[in-house]
Amino acid sequence: MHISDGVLSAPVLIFGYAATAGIAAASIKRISAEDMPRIAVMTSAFFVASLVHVPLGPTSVHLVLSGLVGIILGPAAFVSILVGLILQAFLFQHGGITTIGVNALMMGLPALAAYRLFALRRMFRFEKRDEVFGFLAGFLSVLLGTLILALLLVSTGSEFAGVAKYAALAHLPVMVIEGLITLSVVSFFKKVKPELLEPCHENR
Amino acid sequence: MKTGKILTTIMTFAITLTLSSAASGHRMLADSLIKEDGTVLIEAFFPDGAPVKGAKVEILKPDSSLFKEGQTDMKGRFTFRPERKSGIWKAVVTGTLGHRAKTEFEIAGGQKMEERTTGAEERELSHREPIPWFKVIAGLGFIFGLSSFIMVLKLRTDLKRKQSAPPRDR
Repeated sequence: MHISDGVLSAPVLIFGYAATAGIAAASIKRISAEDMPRIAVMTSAFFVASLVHVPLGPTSVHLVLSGLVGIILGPAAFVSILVGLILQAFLFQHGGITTIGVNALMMGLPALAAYRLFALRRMFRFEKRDEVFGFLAGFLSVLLGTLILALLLVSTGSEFAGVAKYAALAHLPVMVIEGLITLSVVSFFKKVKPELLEPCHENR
Repeated sequence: MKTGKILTTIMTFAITLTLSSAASGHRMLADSLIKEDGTVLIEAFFPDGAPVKGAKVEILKPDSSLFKEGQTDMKGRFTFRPERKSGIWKAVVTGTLGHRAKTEFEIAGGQKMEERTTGAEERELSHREPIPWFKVIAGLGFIFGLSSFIMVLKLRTDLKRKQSAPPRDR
């Protein structure tokens, strides 16, 4: 789910960088010193996750973990994903240097959406609400990522519906696996350390 | 009950890791091979060795003009016969999901010459790459170093603010 160098046009790339810088600046302000160990661990998880390939579906796809990062970190997730992506681009050559901005939007925005979605679980009263919303957050964050990818590729002249359908189909196994991983991590934290399910800034 | 949950978690991870083959991540590589009969084979693949099917291939002549366009087949391959125009030819492969890879090869009067490839250093039957352990460790070190640095900075500002604030409740 990383766009390579040379695919998108310069205005789109500049827009990606500008939007990423804005969101990252807003996100960085809400980080407190106590949150840093948690952010470091989640950034590491995100950084390594893209090395895990899922050999199902029409093309080669890998884990993203944007939903899980969003749930655990809340608004700080965007900065975490940005740092992870910069390291992936420089060390693993995933995506490209010019596309760090758009790639951060493609994985960071779904993380923020996952955090909002997971917060909605408080409106419900059934016992398994954390698990259900954990699965949904993991699943839908990848789906949202593929939609943003298709939207970005429209600027290259591709047709939105076609690319979106193909990207969503290719990532379907990843969506299910991410949903299950998020579900199991959430249910584990719920038993062991429930305060981890409250995102960073709400702890203070 | 708690042990059951932990076991479920471990099982899920185990199943995930068995289903997924760990390899270098989501980028695309392209490779070129000039065959004995004078045709050129372009191959596009992901780092785990999976072929890139149905990707757009553009063949550029040494003067950068477009020579031919096509698509990779089910094995991620595209074969064509170049003109007898000597110089460095280029092949640009563009995947459907925003991936792109380039490879170069040199043709001298139709004779087999050396090929130069960007992105793929070696050609083997399997294109699968090993996990870059050193880079993983370097990245993790960077993340923890950076976060410790930010944490120290933030704690120092907090401390200074507390020291400069007038003491309350006296």
